[in-house]
Amino acid sequence: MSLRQSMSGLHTWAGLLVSWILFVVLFSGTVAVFDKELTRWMIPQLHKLEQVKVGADPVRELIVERAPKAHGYWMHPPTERMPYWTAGWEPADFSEFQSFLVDAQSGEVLPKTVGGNFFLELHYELHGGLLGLYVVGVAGVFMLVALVSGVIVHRRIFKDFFTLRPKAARQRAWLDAHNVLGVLGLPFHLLMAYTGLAIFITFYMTAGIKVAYKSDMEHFFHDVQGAFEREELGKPAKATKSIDNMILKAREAWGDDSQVGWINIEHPADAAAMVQIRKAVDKGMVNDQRTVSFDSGTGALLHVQKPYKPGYKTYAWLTGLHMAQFGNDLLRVMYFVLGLVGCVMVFGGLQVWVSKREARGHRGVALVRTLNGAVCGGLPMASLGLLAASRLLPAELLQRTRWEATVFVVIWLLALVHALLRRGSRAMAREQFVALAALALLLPVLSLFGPEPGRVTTHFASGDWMMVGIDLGLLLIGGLCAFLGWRLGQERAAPVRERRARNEEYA
Amino acid sequence: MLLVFGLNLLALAAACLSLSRHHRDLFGSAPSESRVRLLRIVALMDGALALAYAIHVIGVELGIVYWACLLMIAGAALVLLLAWRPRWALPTAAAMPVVGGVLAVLG
Amino acid sequence: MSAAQAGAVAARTLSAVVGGYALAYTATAFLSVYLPMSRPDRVSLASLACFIVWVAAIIYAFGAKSPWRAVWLPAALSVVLGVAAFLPATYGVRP
Repeated sequence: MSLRQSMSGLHTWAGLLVSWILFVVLFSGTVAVFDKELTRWMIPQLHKLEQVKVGADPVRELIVERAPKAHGYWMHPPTERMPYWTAGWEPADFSEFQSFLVDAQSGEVLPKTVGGNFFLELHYELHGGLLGLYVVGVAGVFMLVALVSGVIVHRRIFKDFFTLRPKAARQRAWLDAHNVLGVLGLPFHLLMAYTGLAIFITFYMTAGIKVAYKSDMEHFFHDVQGAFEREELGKPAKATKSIDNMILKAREAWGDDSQVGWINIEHPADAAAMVQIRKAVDKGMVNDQRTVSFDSGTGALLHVQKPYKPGYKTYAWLTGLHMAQFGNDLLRVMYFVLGLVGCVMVFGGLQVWVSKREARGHRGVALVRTLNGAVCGGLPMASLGLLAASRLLPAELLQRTRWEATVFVVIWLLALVHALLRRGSRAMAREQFVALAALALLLPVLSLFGPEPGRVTTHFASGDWMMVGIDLGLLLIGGLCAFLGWRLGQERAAPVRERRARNEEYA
Repeated sequence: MLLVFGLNLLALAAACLSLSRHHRDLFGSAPSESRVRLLRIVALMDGALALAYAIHVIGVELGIVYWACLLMIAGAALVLLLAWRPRWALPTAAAMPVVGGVLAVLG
Repeated sequence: MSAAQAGAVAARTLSAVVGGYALAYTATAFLSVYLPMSRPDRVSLASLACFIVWVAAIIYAFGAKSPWRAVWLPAALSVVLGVAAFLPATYGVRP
């Protein structure tokens, strides 16, 4: 067996097995590029931020009200992309982090929503905690293997660089698409897969820590970040000094125009309570969150974290490259487009596999087709359903975030059932496109009946272009899906024309 | 950034034309050896110019990333044009850097 | 597919998954000991490089001329790197 043959087999199998999980990871990652904008979109009650009137201290009061026994309070000041205070706490029983948002002008707590963060969590852990993290990690390695083997297998990688023949026979057309999108986006696909794995490196590879730190994780983290920690004293805490004052001192300590990012109050009920103020992740590449630590009771400056050393700086740089929080909106639009390229590439690969085997009646074709419908059609539908739920569910509903997540899951299950009933047929695809079009077009229209700040007309009037972008994007997606649904119906009606075209291709 | 995109698009169009398949599709005959060489030089130059300009505007770190992303997207755009509207491909590739250049000078 | 072919694929797959990770693991440990930098930097950079090793090992597992070589070469390399990394107990933990 030649290298090309063995790599072809590896590429097909490794690719096929991971395709659906990878599609979920790539799709949710693509959507999550705009996670902060989506959170904003999902809170239509949020007024445009003219001036920040609420400081850190009132926000702290709100957290204490909700969780007096928590072992950590967290808050993040308003930024351009997050024009509200984010607040949260680590529960005393070490259960999941709880959070809420505060209007930066009125000081009111905003309606709860899963926000764009839902897609981010879906992306890196499939909402599956540690197990999900490992599944995504394995998928990432598979993706790298598929990319490398794909390049080895691609016979005419330079000659076919620009070749896309949509009117050719189905297998040829999809193979062209899969190859072209894979090759054109290769730097992006490779780097995103690699940096994505790099972010959670300490979960995936502990060899270095084992041999050099004798498995002492805490020691490694402390060394590599130069962070500051303090043990609990077991005595009750003094009243907190003003955090807003500490913010001023932190910015003095940094000496440049760094903004404040996450603020964390460590063991707030203990005498050793600390207020730790991190730099905001700014427009530069390195995910720099260096911390200044203060004593909570006296306000004394305890520690200023030094600039990152080369090892951690490299890690922070790779993390930054992946997370797309650097640069401007254009950068995120580009990452979004390239992410979509990746999704279509994966889908194209599945179409190649199917079209190669459907002629000879391979047993797996129906299963693969059904999974394609369930995942590649179901996930976008569930996502649009989530957005609709965020607009339709009453603002004061108890456990609102749980309801939003439930809608997402239910719609996805419905799509799965639909795919099973339709056996992954072309009719299934058509119906999916119609459903997607309806949902996507519905959303901007729905907004017109909701709170004033969230209406598509308001976004336009106030020049809020990112929000306009989401609404316009939804209309575009709706239009595209409607068109594709119509096209699928047409193809059935004109098989003769297709056959003639195939002859012309090879003439 | 439109200028960077436009120059990248032009570079890729030149690279594309240096391949006989696409040259035949757009001009009816395969390109001569000297033409292939010329097209490749044009492609490299335009790409390098785009990179240099991107670095000039936003620095090395971000410049390389933006340039690379715009290059990949320009490639996708060119492929889509060639597949569905091949006659628009060359005019677009020629016009885009001009429009981008004008905007860069004005803005 | 014959039994021999199935065996070959199974061997290569095992080498790719288990052998590959073992090679990545020992390579990371090796670099974490011998890179000429301070301890946190050694561990960080060595760890970040591990996926390159694992992917290369997977490609090799399926690209190698014989299934036997696909199994013993990564395994042997892992042993060598592992011994070199874990044997010198105090050198690895130097700051």
